[in-house]
Amino acid sequence: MNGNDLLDGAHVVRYVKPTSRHEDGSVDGSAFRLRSGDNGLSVNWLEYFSDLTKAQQLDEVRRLSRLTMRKRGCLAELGVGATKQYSPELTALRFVHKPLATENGYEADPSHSEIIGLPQGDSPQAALLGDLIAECIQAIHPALIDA
Amino acid sequence: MSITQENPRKIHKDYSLRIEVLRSDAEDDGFVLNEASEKDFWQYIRSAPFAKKAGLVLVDNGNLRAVWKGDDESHLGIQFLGNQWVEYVIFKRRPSISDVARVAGRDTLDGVKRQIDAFDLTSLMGT
Repeated sequence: MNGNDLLDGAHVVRYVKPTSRHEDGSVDGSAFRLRSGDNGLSVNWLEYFSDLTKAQQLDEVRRLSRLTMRKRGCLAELGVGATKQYSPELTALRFVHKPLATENGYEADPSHSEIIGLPQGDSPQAALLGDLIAECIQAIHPALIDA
Repeated sequence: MSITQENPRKIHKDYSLRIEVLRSDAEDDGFVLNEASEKDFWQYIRSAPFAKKAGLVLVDNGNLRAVWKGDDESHLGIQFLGNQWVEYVIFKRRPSISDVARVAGRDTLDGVKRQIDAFDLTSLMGT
């Protein structure tokens, strides 16, 4: 399914750093901006792990992530269809499955996906879309689970 | 001491504590708080007696971003770019129409105050 658009019923999570979270735990829209040179925003498609429970899907995302997740970071969950339908500014976004192969000692990350169609990250339009996407967050999950 | 004198002091203290947490978290993730951004943030906050505290986060470029939200879907986000410039995002539900007006742009510290007035967002900050 590499390169295919995720269906509207799919859900994705994005890791959010502690600096992008407000004191009340909510996620700021700046967590949904493209970095310079990037074309897509990294997320993970939960339903890729179709035979697992939600908790197990999240565990797989944490286990396979190549990011250094912090305790006060989080995984912000978005519904694909709900996000695109939230406002006219978001309808052109695409959620595309882009699995990562094994490389540099990292295990393959088969649920990796990207949000495509965001403006350049340092533009006011990117700020506006980021704030809109933040309003679409359906759940916030811990980035790390205590052993 | 009256409440109106106490609140700004408490808010300023809360902001100072929050900025120290953000500074520490940023260092953990390998980036630093932009001093020019922090300077503009304090200048902006001191320029008006805001009674309502903003949420404060750090953008990946090291700039501070303050966000005020109202119960009526009003929303004001200001990223302090440094050198007296800001990037703003405004969501405002107009009473006369059912939709929410959404704008974003760049302006000076003084210019964004005019935007706030134009969108009638002063109540969002409790002024």
